[in-house]
Amino acid sequence: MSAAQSDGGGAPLLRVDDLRATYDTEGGVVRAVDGVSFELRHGEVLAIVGESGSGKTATSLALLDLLPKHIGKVVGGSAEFDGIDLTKLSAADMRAVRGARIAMIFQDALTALNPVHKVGKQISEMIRAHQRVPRSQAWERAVDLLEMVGIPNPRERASNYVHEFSGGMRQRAMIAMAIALEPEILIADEPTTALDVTVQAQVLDVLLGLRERLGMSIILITHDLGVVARAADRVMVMYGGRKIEEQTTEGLFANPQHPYTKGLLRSMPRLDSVIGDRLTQIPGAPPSLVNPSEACRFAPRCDFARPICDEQYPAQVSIGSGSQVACHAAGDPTWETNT
Amino acid sequence: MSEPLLIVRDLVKHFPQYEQRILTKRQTGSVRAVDGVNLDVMAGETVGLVGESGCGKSTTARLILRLIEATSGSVIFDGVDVLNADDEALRRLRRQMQIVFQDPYASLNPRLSVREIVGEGLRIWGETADFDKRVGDLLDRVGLNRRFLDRYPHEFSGGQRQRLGIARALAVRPKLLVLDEPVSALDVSVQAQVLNLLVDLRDEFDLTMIFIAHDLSVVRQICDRVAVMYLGRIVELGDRDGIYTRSTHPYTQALMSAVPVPDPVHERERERIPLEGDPPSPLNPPSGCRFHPRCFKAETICRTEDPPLIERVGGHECACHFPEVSNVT
Ligand SMILES: Nc1ncnc2c1ncn2[C@@H]1O[C@H](COP(=O)(O)OP(=O)(O)OP(=O)(O)O)[C@@H](O)[C@H]1O
Ligand SMILES: Nc1ncnc2c1ncn2[C@@H]1O[C@H](COP(=O)(O)OP(=O)(O)OP(=O)(O)O)[C@@H](O)[C@H]1O
Ligand code: SF4
Ligand SMILES: [Mg+2]
Ligand SMILES: [Mg+2]
Repeated sequence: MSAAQSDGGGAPLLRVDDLRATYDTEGGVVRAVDGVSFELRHGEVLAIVGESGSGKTATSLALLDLLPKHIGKVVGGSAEFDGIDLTKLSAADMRAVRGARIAMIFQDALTALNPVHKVGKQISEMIRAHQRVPRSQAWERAVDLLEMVGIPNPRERASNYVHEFSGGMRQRAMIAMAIALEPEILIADEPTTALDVTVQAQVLDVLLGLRERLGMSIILITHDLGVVARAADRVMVMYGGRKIEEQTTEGLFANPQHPYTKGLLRSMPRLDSVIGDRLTQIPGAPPSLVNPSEACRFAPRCDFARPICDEQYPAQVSIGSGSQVACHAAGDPTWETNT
Repeated sequence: MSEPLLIVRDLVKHFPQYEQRILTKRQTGSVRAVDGVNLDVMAGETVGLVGESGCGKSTTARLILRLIEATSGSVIFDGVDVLNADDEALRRLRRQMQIVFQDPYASLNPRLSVREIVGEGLRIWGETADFDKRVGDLLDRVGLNRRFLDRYPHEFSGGQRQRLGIARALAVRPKLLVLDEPVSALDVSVQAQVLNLLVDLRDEFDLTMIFIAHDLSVVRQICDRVAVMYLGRIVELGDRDGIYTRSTHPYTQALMSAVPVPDPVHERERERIPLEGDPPSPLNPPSGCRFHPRCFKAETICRTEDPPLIERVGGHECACHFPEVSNVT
């Protein structure tokens, strides 16, 4: 187990229960988050992995009331943070929480950063919006933050505009902004996708260092299973708007339970493995989230599906030590799901 | 041997940096984003471009397609001088050279539907027969539902948008496809799907590809040759297996050792070659070998003499005074 472990017991810092969020589109109502529950403890890194389009970003946007206006909305469930239900906060109260106590690194760096202000200015103004500090001091803090996330010549670069930054530099500028106020929870949506491995390692070290120093909890959304292996304590796997599996990191890699998770782990290209001609892929397309059926959402693509899978969504079953899986085959020794 | 499809020589791009005062604007220096890149790409070949964030990969790609103007150097594509081509020649070149942009959010026009985005090239070239079917087929091929034709980009997740970009680029059947981090926003199963798709399309259409990625395990799956960039230059260039199993440049070796392996036990115990010192700045690159301030092997000569990119040991080109074969994975 990695160093700074969560304190194990005690109340969770964040308890999400049966969260539901939808997007209204011309094609119908997209049930992007369809009954998701999880807990996050103090100082813990919880990774969320899963198919593209499975609702990872929507889950985090729903928590912070950031779903696109008029189109997206939370339609059920709760998210209890330090005694308050985030889904019931007024807009003003949410503004006080967002950024200062729960901050988010957006997947979409370019639209989260303002093109008309210098990068350093955006970070320092963000600091000044929440803290009483002189402009010059906030600017110095912005320069320090840019340096922390590995921007070379941070003093000069603070005066650049976003379009003058490379893809990876933009992503790091956003990380600097998110950690500026030392939040209790950091939601990092694909924080390292645009980063090469050396910078990625450095950024992860910065994030894990903050966890160590401040006891910050991190929700780490990533498709990079190498990053999960390095940084996460626990992993939750999403598919079709739902959580389908949750385990400790070690448990998930050693003993994945859900057929989707197994397929995911098999699809991975690895540097330390032999090169085959083709990568294993999970055949088929992801389910539509408009009027999803009551079947297991993975059934059309699952090699082990039986008739019941088409009839009824599997209940979430506990498989010991806080691990859960939603699959009819789980716990049935006669139902083999290994290829 | 035949002529390469793409010949890049001494390609340079400097972005001037200004200091803005109230009334005056003063140039304070320049970002040497690309600073002397040489590269040949043969028809049908896939070349990977890897390297640290900010080392000039995207800028190199944009220069090759002439989406921005070079400071100096030359790019010859299929016998045509790209950097001096007139408008008409450039229009024809654009069809043959397509790019999938790094940022799937910014590169899709939010006001256009999927049909218009993916079919844009077909329309420009007047190929409107069976339009919906052709666009639908492209969506199928990149693993998107063909019922999405009338949707708009904001309705898609990050990974879905990246696939729209790939479908759009493929629509006009280019000869050269430049992919700037095409799978970095995709989960691994979709990533495998897209990589397999690219391999199929490459074989089917004789595509030549330049594949920019920071994920070395992905590059390994798909590229014939790999170029490692550092601070605006290529520092090591060779065939895939050579680069992965017998890398000779200390930077390449550090890069390989930093790749996370999806195995928590192995991963947390692995030895890494640390990169010492501050990350490099293209505002004032170090003297001699640009890597020397962070290199674990650097000696006096590295501070004064810039090692050229030439064939040394290990059977591939390397720009280092002390190349040594090593396999660090
Ligand atoms: N603004 C929107 N309007 C309509 N539908 C949307 C919108 N944003 C997302 N969706 C849909 O909601 C679902 C969940 O999207 P979400 O962005 O949460 O996926 P994700 O798991 O973060 O995927 P990725 O890994 O590709 O980023 C997807 O099916 C997507 O098409
Ligand atoms: N329009 C511009 N104006 C000024 N500087 C720029 C501009 N575009 C790029 N640069 C600078 O050029 C350098 C190289 O950028 P480039 O985008 O090519 O990097 P990259 O290798 O693609 O990095 P990444 O992996 O982060 O995408 C960076 O220092 C960047 O800040
Ligand atoms: S030339 Fe010297 S400084 Fe440069 S990579 Fe080789 S050993 Fe290191
Ligand atoms: Mg997302
Ligand atoms: Mg780039």
